[in-house]
Amino acid sequence: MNNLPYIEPNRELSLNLGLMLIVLNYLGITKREKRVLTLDKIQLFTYLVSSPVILNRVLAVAGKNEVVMDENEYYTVSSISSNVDTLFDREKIKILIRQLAAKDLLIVSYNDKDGFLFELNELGKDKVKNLTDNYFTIIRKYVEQLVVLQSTNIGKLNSYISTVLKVGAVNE
Amino acid sequence: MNSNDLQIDRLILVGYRKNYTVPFYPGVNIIYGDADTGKSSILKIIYYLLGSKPIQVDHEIQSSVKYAVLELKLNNVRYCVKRDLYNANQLVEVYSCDFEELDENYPEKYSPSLASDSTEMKSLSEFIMSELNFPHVKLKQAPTKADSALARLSIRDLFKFCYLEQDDVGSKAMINIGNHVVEVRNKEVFKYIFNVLDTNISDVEGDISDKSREKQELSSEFKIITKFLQDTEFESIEKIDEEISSIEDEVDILKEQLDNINNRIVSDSELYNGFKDALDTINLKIVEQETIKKNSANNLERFSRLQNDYINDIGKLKSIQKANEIIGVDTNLTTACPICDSQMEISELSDVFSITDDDKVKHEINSINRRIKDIKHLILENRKEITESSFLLEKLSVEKEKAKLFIDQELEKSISPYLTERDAIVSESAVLSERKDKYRHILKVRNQHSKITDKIGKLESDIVKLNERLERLRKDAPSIDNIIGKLGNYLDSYLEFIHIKNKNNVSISGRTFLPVVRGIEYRNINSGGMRTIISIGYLAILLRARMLLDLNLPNLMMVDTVGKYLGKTKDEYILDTDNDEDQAEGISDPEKYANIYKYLISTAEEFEDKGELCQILLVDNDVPKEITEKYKDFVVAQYSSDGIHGLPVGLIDDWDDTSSKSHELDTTV
Repeated sequence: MNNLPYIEPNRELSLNLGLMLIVLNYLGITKREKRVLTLDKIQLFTYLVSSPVILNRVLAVAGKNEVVMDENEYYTVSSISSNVDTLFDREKIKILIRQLAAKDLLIVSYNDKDGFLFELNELGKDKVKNLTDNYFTIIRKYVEQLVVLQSTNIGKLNSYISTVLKVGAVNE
Repeated sequence: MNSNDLQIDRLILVGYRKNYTVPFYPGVNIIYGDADTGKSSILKIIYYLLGSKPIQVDHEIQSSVKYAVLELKLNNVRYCVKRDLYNANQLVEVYSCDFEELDENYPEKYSPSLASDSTEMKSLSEFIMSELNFPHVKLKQAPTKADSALARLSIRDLFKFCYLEQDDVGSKAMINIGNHVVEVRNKEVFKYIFNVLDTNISDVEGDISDKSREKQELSSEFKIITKFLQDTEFESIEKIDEEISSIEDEVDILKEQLDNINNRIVSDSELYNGFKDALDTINLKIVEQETIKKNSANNLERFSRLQNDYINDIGKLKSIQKANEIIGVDTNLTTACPICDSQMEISELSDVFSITDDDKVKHEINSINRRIKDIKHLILENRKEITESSFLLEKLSVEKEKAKLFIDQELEKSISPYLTERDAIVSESAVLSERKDKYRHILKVRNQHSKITDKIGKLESDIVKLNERLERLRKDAPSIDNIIGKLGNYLDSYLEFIHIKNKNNVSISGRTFLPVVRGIEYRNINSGGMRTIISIGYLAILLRARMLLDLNLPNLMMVDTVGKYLGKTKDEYILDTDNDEDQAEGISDPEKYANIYKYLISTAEEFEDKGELCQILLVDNDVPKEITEKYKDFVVAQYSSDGIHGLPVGLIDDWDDTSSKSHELDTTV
């Protein structure tokens, strides 16, 4: 239920669900049909996709191509502040996963090495096809650029992020 | 009556740090204080400046004093005698002026040694004796032989009868007693003093002819020099003084002008100040605009970023609408966990996520759109302000440059003439200073010239006096017995005054010309204290004789340590006296001691009453209290090694033991 007297778009459930669907859709399975998305990686990729400036810096540190962005994507007030809640707040991710699970859009697999791995089923993939406007278009753009880091292990990804965050306030 | 007066006015020790001066007056002059304070040095240096042998000075003087000057009058003519304390062979300089004017005069130079012919340089002794009109004589070494060798009589011979050094006072060896050859000479000197030398009359005649010849020579010298100066158009002394004064006035005027200029440079700058004010205003405006510009730039950034956030938010809101449609949101869901197939309730949303219905979202989108419009407006305004500020700043910068240019120009215009004027004044001052030096040099030359006139005048008066003396000598040729008798009476009165015990058989020996008391020759008296009393008395009666007779003796008496053997006797002298004898004489009776002083003081008073001059310089360790209290004015110097009662610690009163090298090269004198 909506308890707040104002809207904070980043808090909207649907927005976040959509975001996660897109992440799962394009990053869930590699070209070689490998499942790669643990909960950790889902969290990390979700964080990156919500912080475009950090995203480009991580891509740079990892030696990959950066995303081409418009001014209104990086020249904002929010890009000045480094909010790392999304990176560390496990609860949010879990709730979203449960929601997607409840809507029967997920497939979960398991192996000894990685633990639980998540991907979308056909229904989920269908939904994603329709998430095509405004914000989601932009998210798609980011996610597609992250495919190169799809298989990178979590340790390395974390180190990229630490490097970028250590450098100091993000300035654009 | 006497035409041979010597008066000492000042002894000045010119030092590296300062000058040390002791003043002297007619009559009795007392110098007393603790040992080692320089009292003996004063008398030693005075005698040195009058032509004595070389002396030793203690290290305080050595490190503090460059040279010494004695300011005195010889027959009322002012002279300053300057002699190097450390190199006794250097020529002695005699200036005919006060100490303060040494710079403006050239001195006559005399040889300090006695050996000199008339062809070489005149000796200091000759000069002084000549000034005091003492006849120049040569004494026979062996008076009884007709063809005996001769030695010139000098000032040092005479001073034996004027100056008792510390060793001499009450000494058995006073006046060379015990040295037969010198004793014989001293007897001849004694005769000379009283004009009973066989050759006295012919000596005076000789002197008269010498002085006449000298006068002739000087007169012709004077004529030649006068002509020379006239030919070379030397100005007179008055004219020169006038010139120097007028130059000094001009220098003062220039200095005033210079001060004036400096003042004017500061105040004459209205226009300059105006420009400076304008520049300050411009600078303030520049600062103002720059602040405005900075603020606007900050705002611009903030608002632009905010605008982008709003745009993003709208995107997100629209997506939310779509997502709501596509994904659908239920708050309450139960489902089977895909992994474990257990049931899940999913209703813990509201803390973390929101679900907003479509209307609200639409509403929000509109609201944000309005905000975006407002922000766009603000952004535009700030851009405009930045543009305006930049434009103004450019204009102000141009104005600033212009103002600076005006200021520099104005400064140059207004200061340059001052600087030129100042330079002109400074170089004029230099020229004037040179001229002044030239005139001072000319003045010296002129002073020399006029001295010759003075000398001629003095010679004339000397010749007159000598003729008078010759008359007197011819009329009442004195006999030695006569003189000794008179002196014996004086000695008797003196000893009466002192109040010695058993005064009888007091006389001056006809054989030695030395005192005899109770029938005993001076040299055979065993009591040191008695000898002190007698030796001082001997000198005193010789001085006294001046009131009665024509004497060839300076009217000066110097005694170093009146109280020798009378009070505390130094260890080095203890052996020379017989303690028992001293006791028997009642030598330590303070009354006798005080009486010596009183006798000398009353002698001086008698001289004064007769309108005649005498000077008695007394050095002592402890003066009888009665004397210091009653005759305070006679004390010309008092020293205390501990500086008690604020007294100087010695002749060198700024001596600091810790600074053993107290030299400072002083090039001003």
